[in-house]
Amino acid sequence: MKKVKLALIIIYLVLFVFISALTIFFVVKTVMKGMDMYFQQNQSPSLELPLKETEVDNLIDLLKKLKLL
Amino acid sequence: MNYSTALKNIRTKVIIFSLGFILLITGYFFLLNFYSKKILKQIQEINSLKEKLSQFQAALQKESQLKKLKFLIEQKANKELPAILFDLQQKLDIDFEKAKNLISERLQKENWKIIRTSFNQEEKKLNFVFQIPVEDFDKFYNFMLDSNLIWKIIDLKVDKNNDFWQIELNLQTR
Repeated sequence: MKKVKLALIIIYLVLFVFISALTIFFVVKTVMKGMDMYFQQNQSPSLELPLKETEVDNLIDLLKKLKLL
Repeated sequence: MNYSTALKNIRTKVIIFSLGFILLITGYFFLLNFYSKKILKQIQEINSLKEKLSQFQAALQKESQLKKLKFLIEQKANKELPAILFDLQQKLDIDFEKAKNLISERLQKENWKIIRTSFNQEEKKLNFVFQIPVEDFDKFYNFMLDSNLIWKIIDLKVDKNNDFWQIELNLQTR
């Protein structure tokens, strides 16, 4: 009877350890993958003006010089 | 119950228990995999929303920058942008007849010696070959600039002789 009890305890322990390991494995895997996905760097679109203020000045001056303005 | 029957019963129970154990673990594995994928899918959705939001913000910023640029151009030119574009179009929009008349009149007015002229009305192309005194070159340049004919030139050949410039002017009009 004692042997049966011991076998049952061992079986429950193995089951518990196996299920815990499986759970930890999936939790870690999900967290790692999720972090990689969430914090991945997206290429931000360029926000530079097509012309700078000095370039606009030069352009207007040039147009005036060429009598187009 | 004899010994072999009891052993058989125990074996059957062990097999059933093992199968149950395997099924339980497999089920749990699939359950965890399912939820893991579900969570990752939701993170992906959040990411795509974040990306859309940043694109929208960038578009808004770009729009405000373009408005700023438009304001800057209008301020420097003292005109509204449509007016600037209209003026430019008017100045650059020289038709065949107008260009022909402008150059012919100027050649006559300045007494510049015409060597050859040829016109292709279908292709709207004009060709003038004429000679101008060396000191008239500025006058010619200013005329081309003031009349905006300078923007219609597709080919220009200038040869300098002793006291005059021989100019071959090829224009493409509308």
